[in-house]
Amino acid sequence: MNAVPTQDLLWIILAPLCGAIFNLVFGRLAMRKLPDRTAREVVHLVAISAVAIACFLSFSVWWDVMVEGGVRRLVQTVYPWIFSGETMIGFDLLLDPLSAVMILVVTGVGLLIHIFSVGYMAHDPDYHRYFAYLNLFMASMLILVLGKSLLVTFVGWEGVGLCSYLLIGFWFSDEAKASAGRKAFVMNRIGDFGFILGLFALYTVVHSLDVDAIAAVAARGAQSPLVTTALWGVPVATVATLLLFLGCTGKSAQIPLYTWLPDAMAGPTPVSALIHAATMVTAGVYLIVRLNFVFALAPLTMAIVAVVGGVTALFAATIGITQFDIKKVLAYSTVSQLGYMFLAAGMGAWVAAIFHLMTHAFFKACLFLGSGSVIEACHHNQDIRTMGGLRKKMPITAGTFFISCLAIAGIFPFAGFFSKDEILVGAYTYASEWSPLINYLGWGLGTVAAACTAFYMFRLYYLTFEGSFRGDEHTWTHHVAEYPIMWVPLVILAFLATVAGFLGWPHALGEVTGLHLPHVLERWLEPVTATSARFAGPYYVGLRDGGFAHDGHVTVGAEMGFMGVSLGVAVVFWLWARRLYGDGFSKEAEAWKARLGKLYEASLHKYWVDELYDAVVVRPFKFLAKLCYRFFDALVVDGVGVGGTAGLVGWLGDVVRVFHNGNVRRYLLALLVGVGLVLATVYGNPTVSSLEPSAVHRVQSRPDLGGLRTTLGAEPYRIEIGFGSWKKVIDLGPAAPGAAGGER
Amino acid sequence: MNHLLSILLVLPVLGALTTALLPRGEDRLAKGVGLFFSGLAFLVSLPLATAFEAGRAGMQFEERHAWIDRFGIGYHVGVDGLSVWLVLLATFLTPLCIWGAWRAIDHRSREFVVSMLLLETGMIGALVALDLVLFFTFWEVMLVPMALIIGIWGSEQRVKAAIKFFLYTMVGSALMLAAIVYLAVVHYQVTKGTLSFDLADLDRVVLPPDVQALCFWAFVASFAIKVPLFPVHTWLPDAHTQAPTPGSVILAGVLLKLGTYGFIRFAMPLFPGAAAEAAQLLAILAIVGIVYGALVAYAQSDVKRLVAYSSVSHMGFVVLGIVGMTTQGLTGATYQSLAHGLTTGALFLCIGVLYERRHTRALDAFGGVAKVMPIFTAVFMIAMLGSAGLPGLVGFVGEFLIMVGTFSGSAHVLNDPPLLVLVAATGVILGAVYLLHMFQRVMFGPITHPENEKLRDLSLREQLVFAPILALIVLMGVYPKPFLETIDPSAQALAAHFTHKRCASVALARSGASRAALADDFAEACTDPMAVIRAVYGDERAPQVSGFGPAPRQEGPRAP
Repeated sequence: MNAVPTQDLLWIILAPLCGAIFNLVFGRLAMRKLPDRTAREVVHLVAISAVAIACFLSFSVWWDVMVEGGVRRLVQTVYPWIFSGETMIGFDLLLDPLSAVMILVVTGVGLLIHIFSVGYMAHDPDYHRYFAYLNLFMASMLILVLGKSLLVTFVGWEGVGLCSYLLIGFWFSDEAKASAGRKAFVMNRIGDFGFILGLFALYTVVHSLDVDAIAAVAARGAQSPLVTTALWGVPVATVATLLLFLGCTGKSAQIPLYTWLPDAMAGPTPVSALIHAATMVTAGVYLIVRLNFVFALAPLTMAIVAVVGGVTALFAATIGITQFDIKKVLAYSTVSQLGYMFLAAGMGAWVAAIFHLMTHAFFKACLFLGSGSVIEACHHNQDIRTMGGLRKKMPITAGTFFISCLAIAGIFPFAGFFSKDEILVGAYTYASEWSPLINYLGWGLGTVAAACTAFYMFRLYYLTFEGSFRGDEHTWTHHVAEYPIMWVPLVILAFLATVAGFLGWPHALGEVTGLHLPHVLERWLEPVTATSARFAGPYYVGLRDGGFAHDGHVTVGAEMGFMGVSLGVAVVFWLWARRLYGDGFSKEAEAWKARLGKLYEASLHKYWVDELYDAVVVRPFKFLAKLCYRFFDALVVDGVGVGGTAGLVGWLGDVVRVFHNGNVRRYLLALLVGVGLVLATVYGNPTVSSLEPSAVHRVQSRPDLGGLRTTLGAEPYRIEIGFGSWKKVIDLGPAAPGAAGGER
Repeated sequence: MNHLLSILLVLPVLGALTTALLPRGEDRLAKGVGLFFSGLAFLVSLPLATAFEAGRAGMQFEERHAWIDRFGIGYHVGVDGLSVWLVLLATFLTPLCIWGAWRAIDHRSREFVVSMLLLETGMIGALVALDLVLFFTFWEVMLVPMALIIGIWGSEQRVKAAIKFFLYTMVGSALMLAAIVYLAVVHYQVTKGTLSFDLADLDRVVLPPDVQALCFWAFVASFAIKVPLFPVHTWLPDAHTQAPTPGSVILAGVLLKLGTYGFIRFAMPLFPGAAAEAAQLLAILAIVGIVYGALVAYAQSDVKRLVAYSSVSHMGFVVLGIVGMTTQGLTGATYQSLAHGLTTGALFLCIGVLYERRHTRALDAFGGVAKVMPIFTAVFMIAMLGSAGLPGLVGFVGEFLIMVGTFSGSAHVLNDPPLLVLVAATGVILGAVYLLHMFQRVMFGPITHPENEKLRDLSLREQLVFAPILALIVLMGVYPKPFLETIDPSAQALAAHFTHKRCASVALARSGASRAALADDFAEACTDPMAVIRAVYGDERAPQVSGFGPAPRQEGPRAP
């Protein structure tokens, strides 16, 4: 461990951060002073090399230290960040198998997407701003992943949210795009509200937000204070994880906070690929697996996570079937695939969740970049109704897109097949609070969603690339083409989408084929999940009774059965999609549309959820704000309260004004009377004029007099106020024992 | 070195006198002299940061002279971790304000500079005074120049706003003065003949519950108005909207903080028993302020009013941190004060930039500004995000400490703090809602008004005014260590002192005595202060009250 160059961890973050700062500060200058080509070259070279450095460092640390060196945990203490009293939040970084997987995916995919962007954004006037934001995003995402303290993770968590906001609204002159960015930020903030409260709940029990400290407390299982302490009558682990999961639904676009993601497609397409498909939106899954030992202690939360994930997977998939915007289809697909990951995480199949996170990053990034290529070629048109036949002019894009479709649909032997299969098997065979009901539900939802996935993905493919072009002639002859800088990343990603599945070679396939490959990812992540794997009783995570469990594995027959079902379903719906859309919109497709009627309408309009939120949340909020301001603030507080007081004072002023009539003689009289009264008071009652010990002594000799009365003296006291015939006497009573001040 | 604070108090007055002697009409010269003296004051104040001994809780740079000996009124000044940064904030913002107003203030510049400098003395004085009469004097001194700045250099409704500001704050301070005098008299009695207005002396007095409550609320009346705490906040939007830019910046940046500072320095430690009793109510008012301020901010059509209401929301957090009386809460409250001073100050400067160019504050008058003013966009955005409490910027540190302290440690004064924090944290969402709403309306979208097409981006002077503020907004968010390590010991000491004195107050009430006493008399009874307090308030109630409790055991069938 001595030779470990730990400062590398910080540089993984600092490299893209420096790139961002450079382009934010000097990018504008370069774009204005240098010739356009040179300026763009400076900008993207800085940005790309910043990410390349991060990528190189990630791979070298991973390979040299973790793989070759055999070190599984690397901690870098940077500096104490926030501290007060017993609270101590260090800005510390942690590289363990889980964060290693994440940084490899993030920097790897990130690098490819940076390169792709050079082509996609080639003519944008705000080139420097784009790359600065993209670099800033990389830095934030790496902070999120590498943070050892959950609060450091939260910095990245909000940082990626900010970059997402900036990049969705990148073309801010378009009001709708700016609004989409704002919507994303606000919905994420709703999630963050849960996240931070979850942290407080954890903190109150653990007295630290350090992941290791939380793990140490959670390791006690049923005896852990996370379980034995209750907040609002519910174990803290459950409260905290539910709140954290709210944060996950915001960041990872799950029900109920998913509606921002489809709108986020307003951003440049490479951004959608990087942020809204491959990396940022998976942060919620990462968080759950990072805290798997806390979630495992909250069976209720786990069940909710699984159900929300499963329902989201199906719900979003059914919307994806009817959309016409190429990016909207992919967006709903992302929501759906994220749902799978949560389904896995909720069942305790941590490895499956991370596995799918990784494979999804490859094929979905490839799909998005492919769509970007198409959109660029079609003159920034995104409507698949006016596309078709693009394969003839864009063979590489079409090929990589097709491979990715195979992968996401779960066709053997592409990556998605393995990861999705592992999730579905896990959903059926893992123990849960509500087993076996939840197993049937999770598996059922997942399988139906898989059918939808195959259908809408191939629908998208065929409508875009096959058949004949449905757009205008001019676009077809002058625009449709491919650019090398854009297809190189596509090919690499398609390759990864093809082979990544072999990292999770299932046990059963080894038995059947005789090819005994290890489940690399499971072994790699073993230290991360070790704590929760030891839990027993109600907190047990793993295969359940009656779930075809045998010898720590699912039986070969059952596993092959599950594979067969999901593969069969995928192939059937692939072929069906080809039949309906293989050559444009077929008559049969139209017939189905009519047959489904209202159901089709509902899917097309995304089940009117946006409208529902507008009516239930947005409008009441605006109304409440107006009410508070116009009615309460202006009328009640300022009008009746302050205004009333002012009015009273004004009225009193009017009364007193009688004496201020400018008559000097009357003033003089009043003055003399006043002086006389003062003199009489001072000399008539020396206890008031000066604080002589004797006077105080007299007061102190009456211990029964407490409070204010002490200063007033021991005599009975009354105030008389009168105007004309009206007279009021305020009698403060005799100085009797206990009459004033006193005890409660 | 020991005269540093006194020099700091005299310098602006000297500057004001010099400026007053200048011939009429020499606008630039007057502003130059003002800038020179306030800048000098800032430089002089820098040793407060560099020579301040971190890790020490007590007063530093202390200075004490007899003043009106006959009444025991002394000139006693000093700073500790809870005040030193606020003093620096005042000396930091004043020159920036004068410089920032270089073009905005174009008539009676001489009088303006005099007001600003006197205001600076008033603010610093109130922050460093350790004698209650001295404090009260400075507290009142601040009032006049501020009212003048609003009333003379403000917008259309300036006079009304100035009067509202003046009367509102006067009402509060009148009550406070009565309480101060009362406290001194009681001190005179219990010490059998020592008349003193020194904070350290008066702090030894423990009042019986009823009078303590009266005195506490008298102080609170003054401070709560200044903060401003819901529902006595309505002077603020008017004052802010009508005040000229430098007035708004100083008002938001420093003046409001004096309210919360007053809570920390005076109201809470002097009357801990009453403060503990009132904590729940104050916390609820603070939280209502957080949510309500944010809601109302969203409803505004005037940018400046929007930011003014955001102050109500933000200052609610500060009060929440204070009334929970935890170390983290107090540290966070102090930090959040600084954060709010910087971010809201920057936001008001930004609005000033827009106003200077377009002479309107209506949201509708803008849109698409980002296209023509890219540098300004970056500045405005950082200020906005800092205000929204984005982690990594200054606003987050304080908010986090306040909430984590209240959530986990304030059950000794508050009922169900997790629930309170839950409601308060909605302010995090709402903050994003109204700030992003404002930003989008002003900066994004197409340019709908042709006047906006030719807006100048920030001039060099304006960039230089913003640069140090933005640098601090980022630096204090990323690396708060130098600030926290000076604030934290004082916060710890105050929290401990509060508990001890609260114990004395409880013990006094329990002893049945109706007269005030000295805290030292209860030293023996209060070796374990929390035990005494718990004995009075009931031990068994504690788990439910805090929101936390033992969980029922769960025996599930999940095992394989």
